[in-house]
Amino acid sequence: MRSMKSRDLLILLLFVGVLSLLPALGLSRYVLGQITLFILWAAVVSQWNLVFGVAGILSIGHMALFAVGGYATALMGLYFGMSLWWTLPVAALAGLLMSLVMAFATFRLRGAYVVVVTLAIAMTVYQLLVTDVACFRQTQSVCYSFSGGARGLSRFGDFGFRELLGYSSAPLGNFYLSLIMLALSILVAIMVVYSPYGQAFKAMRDNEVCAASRGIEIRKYQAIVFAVSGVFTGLSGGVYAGVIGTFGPQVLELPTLLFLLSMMVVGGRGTIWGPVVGTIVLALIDEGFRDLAAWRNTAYAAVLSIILLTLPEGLMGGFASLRKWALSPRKEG
Amino acid sequence: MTHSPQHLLEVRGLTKAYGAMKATNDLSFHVDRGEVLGIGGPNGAGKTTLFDLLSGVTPPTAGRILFEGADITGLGASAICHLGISRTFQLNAVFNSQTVADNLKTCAYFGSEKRLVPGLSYDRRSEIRAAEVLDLTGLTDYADVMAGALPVLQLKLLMIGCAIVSHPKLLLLDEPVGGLNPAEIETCAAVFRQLRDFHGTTIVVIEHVMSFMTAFADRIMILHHGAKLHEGAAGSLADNPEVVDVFLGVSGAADSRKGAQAEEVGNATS
Repeated sequence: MRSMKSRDLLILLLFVGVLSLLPALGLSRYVLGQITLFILWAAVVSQWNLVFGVAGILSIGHMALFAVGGYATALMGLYFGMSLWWTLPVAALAGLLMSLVMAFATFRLRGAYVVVVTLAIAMTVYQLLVTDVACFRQTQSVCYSFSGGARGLSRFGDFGFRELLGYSSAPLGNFYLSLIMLALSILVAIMVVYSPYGQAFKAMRDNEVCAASRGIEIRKYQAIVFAVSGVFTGLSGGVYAGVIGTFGPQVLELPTLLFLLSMMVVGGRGTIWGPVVGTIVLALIDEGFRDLAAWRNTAYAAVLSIILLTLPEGLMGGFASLRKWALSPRKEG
Repeated sequence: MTHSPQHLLEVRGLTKAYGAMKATNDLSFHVDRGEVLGIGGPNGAGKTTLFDLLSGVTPPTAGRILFEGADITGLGASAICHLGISRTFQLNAVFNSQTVADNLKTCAYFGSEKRLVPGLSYDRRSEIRAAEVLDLTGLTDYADVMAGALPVLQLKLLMIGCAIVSHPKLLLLDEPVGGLNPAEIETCAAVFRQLRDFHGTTIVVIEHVMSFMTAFADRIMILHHGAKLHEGAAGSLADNPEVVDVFLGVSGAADSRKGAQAEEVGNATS
């Protein structure tokens, strides 16, 4: 187990190293922006995977944790004019609180019921946002609601890369900040999965009654996995808000949910690298169908279906089976 | 802690009702330190329900469970594990996606005490205990195999290993040798004898293989419809016509005599 952990830490180092060299290729502003976006999605999916894949708690309301983090940053930037750097701890805290709501709501539920309740929580947050139309602030002739409603929020500040690096290099700042967020997210996932915590999460997933009888306090570890995931998902939400510059209820809509869920399932849930592999695959599809926007969602659905039918454990699961097959001793024939 | 109870486990009037059906019905018995109590009975007699109650998997409807003199009725499964009662399950209950060694480390680490704030790696004691149990169960060669890929005997041994790696005072075995052939049963029995003789573990065992049970148990209790039908020394079983009638049958009675005799011969030679 120790060697596996060292292996994954080494892969992380190489992976981040390679990614950090990407801007040297002279990528266009658009491509760099897309890569930055997908790096943040990978950070979110890695954290979601801790709850969904590693602990086997089928929470699909995970984007609510991301949303509260993003809104925490956007609202504080907007109303208090705070530097967005200072809002990040609050975004993490917001994610933590929301994750504890999720944890308590699902303590007594299993399987499909968890899916329903977590989705309901995320949809409640969504509805609260889009129905927020009461006039909160007036600029010239336009009236804005407190949370920005269905339009979302914008012009709440940024991380100051424009002042620091100049207008043309500001995207680089956003890119590297996102990369740090992804590295942090994967590092946390590795530390958790190979620790007694991760073993307890997997034990709960494999056989809950047996895990309890072996001394694992189920609720406590359910709460812990939600909390860890909530902190770093909330933080990702805050970084996303600052990097993209706008934040709206669209992150809670079904297409976003299915897109991120596909990343996890295609890559391989419950594995360290599955979310990253899945994000790369979905990013390529996304780019491939850029000019065929009408077919984009169909393409996601097709890939998701093909993967579920042929490799139920995702690409990483398929890779593991392939390696096992290749390494297993075969009879001379 | 001045009070030193005579019995390790004492059960008083234990009842578990599912609607009108009483899976366990006003059951009282005790287990002394160092002894092996066998529990038998026909299917649906409430044997596994009794284990579920003793191990905190389900709470009883009425009655009390005393362990080392303390009332543990209604405690949760993990708390009861930490107090030193460990059980196995009839069905395959291991952590399939972990290796054999990791299964044992997890059970050692979380089972032996309440971990308020677990560390980021296993402590040395858990690693040592896991290695000891690998040795005791003969699973050393399988240490890096995923538990989900184990053959049936090794799976049974791992389930037993996970239950004993936390060094329980009382071990509850639910059909530990069901589905095994005689040679495999002997492999498991050797592990149990080692636990009883060298680790002083008190054992309660549910089993349908009567030759194994009468050879291994000091006392046997037979349940029927959740209540006690018979309780006595292992050899006495076939002499109770009710037990023969409800549970053993005529050939089963012969089996149980054989087992008890084998045990006597074994004791005489050792």
